[in-house]
Amino acid sequence: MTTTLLTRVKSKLFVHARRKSRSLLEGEYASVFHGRSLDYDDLRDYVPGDEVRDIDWRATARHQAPLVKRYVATRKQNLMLVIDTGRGMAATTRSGEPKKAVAIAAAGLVGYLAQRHGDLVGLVRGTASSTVAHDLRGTEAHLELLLRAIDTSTVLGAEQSNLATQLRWVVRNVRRRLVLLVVADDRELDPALDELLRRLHVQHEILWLTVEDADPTAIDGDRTAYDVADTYTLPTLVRLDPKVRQAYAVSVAERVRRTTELLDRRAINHARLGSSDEVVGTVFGLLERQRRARR
Amino acid sequence: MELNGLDLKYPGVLSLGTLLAVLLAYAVYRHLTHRSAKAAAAVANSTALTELPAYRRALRLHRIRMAVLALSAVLLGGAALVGAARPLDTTIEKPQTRSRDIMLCLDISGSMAAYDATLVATFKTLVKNFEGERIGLVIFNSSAATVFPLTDDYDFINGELDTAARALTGDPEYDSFFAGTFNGRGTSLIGDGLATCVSSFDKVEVQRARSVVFATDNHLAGRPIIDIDEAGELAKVKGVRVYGLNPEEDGPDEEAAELRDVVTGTAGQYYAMNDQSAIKGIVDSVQAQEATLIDAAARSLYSDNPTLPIVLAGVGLVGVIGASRRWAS
Repeated sequence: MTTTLLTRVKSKLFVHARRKSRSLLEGEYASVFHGRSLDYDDLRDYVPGDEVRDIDWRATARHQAPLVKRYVATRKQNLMLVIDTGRGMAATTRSGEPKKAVAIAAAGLVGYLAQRHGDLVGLVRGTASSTVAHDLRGTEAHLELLLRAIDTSTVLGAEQSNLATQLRWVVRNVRRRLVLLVVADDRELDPALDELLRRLHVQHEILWLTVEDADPTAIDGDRTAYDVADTYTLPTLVRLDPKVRQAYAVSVAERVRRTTELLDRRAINHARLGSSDEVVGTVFGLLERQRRARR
Repeated sequence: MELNGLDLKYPGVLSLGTLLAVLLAYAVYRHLTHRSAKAAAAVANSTALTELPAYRRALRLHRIRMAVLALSAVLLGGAALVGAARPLDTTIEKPQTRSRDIMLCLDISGSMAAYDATLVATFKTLVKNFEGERIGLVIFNSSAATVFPLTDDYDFINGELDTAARALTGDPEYDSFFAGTFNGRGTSLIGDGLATCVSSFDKVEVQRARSVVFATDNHLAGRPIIDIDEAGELAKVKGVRVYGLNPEEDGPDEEAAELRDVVTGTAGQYYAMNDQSAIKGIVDSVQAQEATLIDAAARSLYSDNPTLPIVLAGVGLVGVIGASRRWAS
């Protein structure tokens, strides 16, 4: 095993750190999921993304740079990755990578941030017909195992995707409060799912990531495009027809708008991903919005 | 004549070509599927695309287009193959026509000078009555010369007979007409003339009705190589009937009697020129003779008939080009 999946996630983070401070992202996560207690631990330098109200103004006045109070976390957060591993996620995403690569990058990043923060990370994955749950644990090795489980179970020969099955499992089997990171297939959210979200949102904190599908009208003519659901090959000349492309773009925009509306109505923070290169930036934006929403 | 449908000159081309076309189509199909298997992109949730009305419309158009393309390609290929196999029009022809050879044999010696123009006119009338026969003209004086060999080109025959008529009325412009007729000893060598006429038939191995219309007064003035009796025997051996046409018969005449003997000896008939029934007699006799011979064998004539395949291939090509145009419009 030359590179572990987690190493790849970290390297993404490292590359990204040239533009945005890595600790910025950690600070962002910490301020979203602060397990704040009253037990003061120590002071550290302020990094952008930290809560302004955590700044120790007196200490800062004595010091040259702003200092932040650090507390001993008494309560650990539980991050549950809810990942669709149906065959829909083995298909291609906008960048040409498999969708599961984007899902692993996103789940890995958030899981890593959580693990660094001292939180526990678990996984609920599955297809339309079956769901597998993994324990909540706080080690890097465990996170690597989770990512590996996502990678090996998401194949073209897997069952069809239906995230409602996993969400229903969570509704039935989880009693405690969790932070849910849902990585979803790019499809219409039906009323049944809406109802599930309503119930879940009462109990849990939900972050929603949609992994976009590749645009069949934008795949080059020298490649054929087939649907993973039924292996139906889309006739190349038909899918490249400018009129079809235009109509498809309109319908996608319409669907994205509907999904956005639905999730907004449920006050669920969400973002769309089409490439593993976008993961760090998008997750950062997602956490940022989550922080603001909680104020 | 009766038309007997479309035949193929090389029917083997058709089966071989079809086999090759099927193999080629299979190879192309294999190549395409193989290639697409290599470079296929898996897409999820494509129903979002396939349920669009625009997609359904484009798909319907695409299918029509593909069907037209396939049909046109098959039409083009099939028509090309049929064309390559060379479709033939089979015509079964009963050899009633062009089965008779008639050699006109004209004595142009001085004794005949007064009658020759009339005789040529008689020949022309004869020719008019023979439709489809091959006719040749030989003139002789001291030696014989072929004016034109056996031919069924009636325009040419009439043209030549007109020329002969002018030459024989003494038009000096046509002196060359007589070239080659003064090479023998003496003039008016009847036997030599007849022998030449009898020997002028081609395709001797083929059994055909051969007749000589022999216009002469049988007025010998010299020493022929072959006398008229020997010439008559030669005609008999070759199966040639000789019809005598004597312009100068007036009463019982030794020369005329000799001619009559020779002519009847070859199963031909003898006529005096002023005999009104001469032409009709010769024509009837010649045609009656054919009646025994024609029924021999009907033969098939084959001629290339590529019109239909070419038209169909053209239609196919138009279809292929039309249907394989990209979605430019």
